[in-house]
Amino acid sequence: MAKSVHDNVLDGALNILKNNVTRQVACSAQPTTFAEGNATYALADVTLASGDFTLANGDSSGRKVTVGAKAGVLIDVSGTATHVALLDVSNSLLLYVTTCTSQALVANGSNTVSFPAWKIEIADPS
Amino acid sequence: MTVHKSGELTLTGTDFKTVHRGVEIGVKCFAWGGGLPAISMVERMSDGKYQATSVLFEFSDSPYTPAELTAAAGGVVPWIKTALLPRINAALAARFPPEAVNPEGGSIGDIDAQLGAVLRWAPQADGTLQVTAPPGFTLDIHNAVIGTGDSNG
Repeated sequence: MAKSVHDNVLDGALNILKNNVTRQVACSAQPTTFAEGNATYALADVTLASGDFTLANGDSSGRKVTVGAKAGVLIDVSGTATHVALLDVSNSLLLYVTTCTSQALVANGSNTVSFPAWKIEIADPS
Repeated sequence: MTVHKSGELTLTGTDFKTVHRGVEIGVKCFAWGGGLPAISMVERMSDGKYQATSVLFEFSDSPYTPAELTAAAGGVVPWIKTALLPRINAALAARFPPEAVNPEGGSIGDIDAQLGAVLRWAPQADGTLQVTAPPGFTLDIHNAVIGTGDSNG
């Protein structure tokens, strides 16, 4: 018996990100709280708005949201980025964490880091 | 500023002095060998004695008396600020050249390893190197897929 879900259900979750995430942070470790993502492990951060999130059909199935690229983000603290966090700053929520290939970042007052576009996909039930 | 004889060279509590990187440094006006006064940078040596390490201003180089020189600048303080202070800073820069700072507190090897990461070096036609814009870093962010696979086997 086939399982199904309406796109609106999946978009509901993705829109939480689109409508609430206001900051993307490169972190030196996996943050498990807003404070860790926003400060403890934060190496570089950039402001995001709803326009930075694009919803579409998933690559494999379901729906996806693509986070737009952000280039030239000032590195605040030296360290090795291993995670990227999406934060709802107004409500102090750590909404999403993904990993990234370990990348040493060196802060010297002018060095920058680029966040490429990336996506979160919620697959159809199977 | 009191003019001292070189034999009594010392820094007292009323002298202009500071501690720079652990070294007591002062600026003092005294007469070399009892001649015309000169303003010198004075440094406290490891044996506790003071030595003049560089001459900042020699009044004998000027056709004017100290009073005439300072009066022309608008007074002693303006003269110190405009004529002497740049020489003090230049002497300090020569005595204490900037040191590379390693924010990680690691060894010199760490600094060396970061030179290429922090700065880009562009060879010039004359054989010198020029520092160009610092490189940018790029993250490789991993995409995430939620809900793959059979939910209940």
